[in-house]
Amino acid sequence: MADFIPILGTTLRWIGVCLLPLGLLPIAILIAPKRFAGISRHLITRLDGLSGFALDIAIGFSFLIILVQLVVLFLSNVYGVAFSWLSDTVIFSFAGIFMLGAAATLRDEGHVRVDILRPRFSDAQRAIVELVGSLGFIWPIGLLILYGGAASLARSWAGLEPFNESDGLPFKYLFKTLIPAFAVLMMAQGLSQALKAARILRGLDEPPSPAATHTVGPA
Amino acid sequence: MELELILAIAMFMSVIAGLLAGYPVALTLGGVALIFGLIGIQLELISLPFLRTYPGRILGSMENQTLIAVPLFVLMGVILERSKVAEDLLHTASRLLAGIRGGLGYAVVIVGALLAASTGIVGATVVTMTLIALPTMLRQGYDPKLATGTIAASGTLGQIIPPSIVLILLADAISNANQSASTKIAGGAGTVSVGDLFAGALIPGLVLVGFYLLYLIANAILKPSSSPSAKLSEGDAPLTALEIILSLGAPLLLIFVVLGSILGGIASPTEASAIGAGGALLLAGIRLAPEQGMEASRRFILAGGAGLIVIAALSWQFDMRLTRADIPLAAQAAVAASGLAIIVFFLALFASARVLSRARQFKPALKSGTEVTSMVFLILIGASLFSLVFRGYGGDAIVEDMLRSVPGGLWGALALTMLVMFVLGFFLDFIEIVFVVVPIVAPPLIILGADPIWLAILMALNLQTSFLTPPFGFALFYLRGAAPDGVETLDIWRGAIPYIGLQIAMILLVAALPALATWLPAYMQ
Repeated sequence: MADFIPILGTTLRWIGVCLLPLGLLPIAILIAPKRFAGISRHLITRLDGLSGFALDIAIGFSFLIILVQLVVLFLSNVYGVAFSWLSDTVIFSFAGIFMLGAAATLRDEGHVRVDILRPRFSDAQRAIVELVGSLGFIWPIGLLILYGGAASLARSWAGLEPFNESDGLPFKYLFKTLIPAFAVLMMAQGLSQALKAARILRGLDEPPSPAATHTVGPA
Repeated sequence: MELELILAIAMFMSVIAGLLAGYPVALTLGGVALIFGLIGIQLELISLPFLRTYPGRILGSMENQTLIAVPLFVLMGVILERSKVAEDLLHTASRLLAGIRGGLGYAVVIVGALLAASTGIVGATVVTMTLIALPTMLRQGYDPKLATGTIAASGTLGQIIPPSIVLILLADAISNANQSASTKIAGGAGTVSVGDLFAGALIPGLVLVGFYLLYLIANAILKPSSSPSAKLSEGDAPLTALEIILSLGAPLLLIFVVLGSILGGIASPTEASAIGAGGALLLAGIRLAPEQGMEASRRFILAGGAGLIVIAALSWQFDMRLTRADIPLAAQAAVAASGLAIIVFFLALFASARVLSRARQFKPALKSGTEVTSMVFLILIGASLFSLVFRGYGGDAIVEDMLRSVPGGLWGALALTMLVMFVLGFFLDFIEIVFVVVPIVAPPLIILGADPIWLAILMALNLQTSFLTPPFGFALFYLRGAAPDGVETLDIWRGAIPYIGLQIAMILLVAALPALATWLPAYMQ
């Protein structure tokens, strides 16, 4: 087991490095739209599906957090007992909701935008903003998260780090793995958004109708 | 220092340009900051290991105990909204008050305050009230300016009336600011809890509701034609007592339990938010069961709600702590009874989930709660990269020096901050301002002598006003989007102006009488 983990980590890293050139695919569509039409459509379906899969887990966590937080509440306020593994489950669900849900929220147009100039932009202008943002903002942030967190995550996995208390959940390393999972999901959905934008720019797809997009308001 | 100052300002400007391009705010904040971070590394102003601490900061947000209440209150809000509980509330209140002159207006303000306390989501509240109340008000001959202004203003109450989600976020930011300020002035490091801010916001929020109502009463007396009494249409059967209890009483009870347990110090905001979400699920089940022909489920869910009361009563009467050495027989019986009640309560939660699933609302409600939560926290994640780089350039020191050099001491610095936040409120929403601006400006203001709770309430009132101010106020956009054709944008803007006046009066009142914000939190302790 102890030998297996560094090998797994190295393998994953090399898979990641090999996948990096995929970030050039939106640009390839701009250059040769016909040639990459089929593969990009296929990839968009797959990447959107990946975000949807992560969203389903996040939705599960959102129901779990209600139930478990209520159990914690009853146990401590009525019976005066507390279990760290239950509190750990609450915090795991809490982080799981947004770390796994953020990519699908990007897919579903759920992240707030400033809507002052945007309504006046043409479809092509919006697609350019989308393309630049996906590759120029999401990918660098994702790479910083993956690169900056690798060393501490490797230590956490090497020791199969548990949560702090002795009766806590035994897998804090999985909790910490939500961070690179978030980065990979966001990069994957960012790629999907960039591909969609590039296809619109080259006339392969119609831009989404205004009614299909919505913004989430100030809470 | 000069170069750093220029880069810090350039970063701020670039973020604003990026935001205006219309890319999601959270990612623009983080992405622009990262580009400037890399420039800083090239110029050897920022070190690479400094940027590499970023994943650790994300972990800090994931482990933040205070913020657990956010997804739970969001879920409470979306469940109440999806299950039409919020809609029923407005229908019942407006029919109860319809006979009085100006009654529909009062109903909108009161329901706005109640919805604020239960859902706390401005966009949803404004849209719901616009769709339901605005057409009725216009049909009954209300002045469109008065009707739209009242709806927009009442919708923004969600920001200030607890348990507002932004107050939770603000509590976290102000508490951190207070700690960093007290390390600099070597004062006692008092933390500011979510409960403190909820208590601090309660009196100003209620006074504000009072102002709104007084304005409507004045209108009804001085300009009776602007707010007539409404006539019920022929087909409407009179409300039965049961309808009133269920649609008005049940949400009121839930709000009372959630707020009361926080303010009474019985439960932490996180615990209360779990009760809120669970209670909302039960109300939704009760509301939707008849439509699905699930009468048995409805009775069972009612039993689950009653179970909650049994649990509360038993734990008030008996000491049921299981950690004691020997438990008296009566307490043992209470433990067994409360255990049974807890099981019934949880089964009722599942029964409600089943009713909602049958109505095809369960997964959509959880999905929308999950996506709103993701939206909030992605801003936190993006803003923390922005703050990291901004501080790497010494931007916080620059802002501190600037605020210290404003003439007029605390009051001058406060006025400048408020003005800047007000303008930022035109194109950023409350969440982004809390995550980006508050950590930068709050510590120097606290060092200059501002009380943290008072400062937070002033900021909240200020931003609430900003959302109501034409031409960029968020609430006005939502209203415009949901209003029927024939409502002029200019009327919406004119209607908002008297409420902006009331808001400014409220801000000045709290500024002059800090006790309005600080008395209740101090009393609770």
